[in-house]
Amino acid sequence: MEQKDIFIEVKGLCFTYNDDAGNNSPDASPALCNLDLKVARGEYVSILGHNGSGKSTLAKLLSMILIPTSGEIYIDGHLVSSPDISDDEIYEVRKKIGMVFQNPDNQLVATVVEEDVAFGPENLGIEREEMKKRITEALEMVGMTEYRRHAPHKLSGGQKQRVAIAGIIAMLPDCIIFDESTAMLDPLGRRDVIEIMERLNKERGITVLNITHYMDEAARANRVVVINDGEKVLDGTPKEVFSHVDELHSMGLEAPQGKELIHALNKCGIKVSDDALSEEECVEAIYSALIGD
Amino acid sequence: MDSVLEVRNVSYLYSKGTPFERVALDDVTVSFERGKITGLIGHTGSGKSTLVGLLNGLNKPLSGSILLNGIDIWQKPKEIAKIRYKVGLVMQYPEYQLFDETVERDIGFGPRNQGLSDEEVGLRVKEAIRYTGIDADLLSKSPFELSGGQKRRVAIAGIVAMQPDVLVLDEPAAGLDPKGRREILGHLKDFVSERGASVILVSHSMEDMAMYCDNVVVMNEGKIHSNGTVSEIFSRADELISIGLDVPSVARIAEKLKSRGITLDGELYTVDGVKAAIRKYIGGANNDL
Ligand SMILES: Nc1ncnc2c1ncn2[C@@H]1O[C@H](COP(=O)(O)OP(=O)(O)OP(=O)(O)O)[C@@H](O)[C@H]1O
Ligand SMILES: Nc1ncnc2c1ncn2[C@@H]1O[C@H](COP(=O)(O)OP(=O)(O)OP(=O)(O)O)[C@@H](O)[C@H]1O
Ligand SMILES: [Mg+2]
Ligand SMILES: [Mg+2]
Repeated sequence: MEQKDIFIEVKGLCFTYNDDAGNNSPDASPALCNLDLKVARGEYVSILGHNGSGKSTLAKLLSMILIPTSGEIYIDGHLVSSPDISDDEIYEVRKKIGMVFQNPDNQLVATVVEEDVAFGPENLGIEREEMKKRITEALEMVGMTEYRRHAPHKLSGGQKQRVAIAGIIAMLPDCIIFDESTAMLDPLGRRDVIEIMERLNKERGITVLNITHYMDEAARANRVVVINDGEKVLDGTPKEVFSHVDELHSMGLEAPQGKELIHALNKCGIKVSDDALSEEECVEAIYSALIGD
Repeated sequence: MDSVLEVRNVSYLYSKGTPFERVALDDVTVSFERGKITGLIGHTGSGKSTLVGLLNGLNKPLSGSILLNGIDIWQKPKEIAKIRYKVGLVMQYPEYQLFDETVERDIGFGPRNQGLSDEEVGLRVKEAIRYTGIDADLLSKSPFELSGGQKRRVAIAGIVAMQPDVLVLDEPAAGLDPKGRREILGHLKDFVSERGASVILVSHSMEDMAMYCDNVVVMNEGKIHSNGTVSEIFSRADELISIGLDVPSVARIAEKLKSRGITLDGELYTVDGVKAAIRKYIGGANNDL
């Protein structure tokens, strides 16, 4: 029974990039090393890690852009890491996972925004009426309706990103991996995209993996996974993971600002309960520490 | 104010004369202070990249002028290429400008073009990787074999290596991990003080503005919305929010504490600033006893 709810299962996953000749050079260090990860259908997971820790490599392995050096990957019960997997099965599973990258330029292909959003569904053979509906809905969801007939390459960075997300939404995948998709957005745009992620997750049950360097954003997920030098080092609720402030620092990461503030206050002898994480909770915790009971 | 760069009544249009004509800059006048780090913020599409693309002569204003040290950069159009060494621009998504065989050659490209000797180029590269926190092991790698954040650093190093008088960075820290952000942006201060340079920093991170900038210019819909010191700008939280921007998270926390009667004063925009204010508050409260 439980097995049925697992959408992604990764066992002992290793990946080493090939050298120019396509050989697995013996001295190349692995980008991912013996990684185990289970993600249930409908989960909302943030993935953190320093530059070069292996996050994008993991995302590319999960979306079958790369093939593991060793280890197993199951997507929705399909063993996709097997060399024997049929083309039909690959096609079937690829539809289940959509990816949104940091720079949408290499994802935008058409000359008009709505055609761009249509590109994915078109390839899936979605019929016209249904497609129109999906495009309208997807553009609405990312707040780009008024740019429907504009040329995507002439939009600003943030506007392009919303179009790219709409293109993925229109394919109705089971899971979306956002690889730093908010990195180029303004604060409002970031909030919008995060809200889009959360709505896709809550309302449509889409499994969301959000790779990000913004800690406050990561803290909004139900679960946070931290990768360090190709290995999974922390995995838990945001509260659990962000309680390891010193450890995060040593890995080149940090905690959301409120948490950092409480940590700094405790270090200089001002005792504040460090159970808080959200801004509201941090205000509460600091307030009661200052006022005293 | 001693301005290194002045933008005077500059306008810029894209796709002029087509149905998609777009006013990207509308009569913009603004000055950037010499020897300071000036932040440039604004919603997506507000015109930041368009503006910085005019500062180094990459594009030409439709009307108005850009003055570098008081001289119009378009005075001698044939010499505009020289301006690009004086005003070094790290473009948004700079990793797409990487092209050379190795990281080392890529970073050294600008200085080599400036006609420096191999030895001097080597020194420039060394200094640039120090400013950008690039591991020397990566120098012999192909830039295409790097992670996103590593590529970003290499692209920044390539501009830093030209030792420009004004370093303009368009979203340099997007995609960097927190440590990388601190390293690169933290080193901007050294770059300014050691080299007497000026920096213009475009960013969507209000935290970066608070931590690393002296002044902030705010753009909105192709116009200059406001312009002042970090504290002047962040004291107008409601206005910032109304134009798609924000204040740092820790500033909101400080504001909420204040509204509940905790008197905090000082620069309440960074973790360190708020920490100091809380310590002072406690000190004060203890003295009252
Ligand atoms: N195409 C490639 N060829 C060779 N090595 C690569 C390639 N892409 C990435 N690497 C290396 O693999 C490691 C993991 O890279 P990856 O892109 O997965 O990191 P990341 O966690 O996504 O980092 P970032 O936060 O900078 O995006 C890094 O050491 C990187 O240099
Ligand atoms: N090449 C282009 N052709 C036509 N219009 C463009 C072009 N580049 C930008 N624009 C438009 O000009 C306006 C300003 O864009 P610009 O890229 O300067 O914004 P920005 O503030 O840098 O945004 P972001 O924060 O997303 O990078 C936007 O409305 C954008 O759609
Ligand atoms: Mg990455
Ligand atoms: Mg821009």
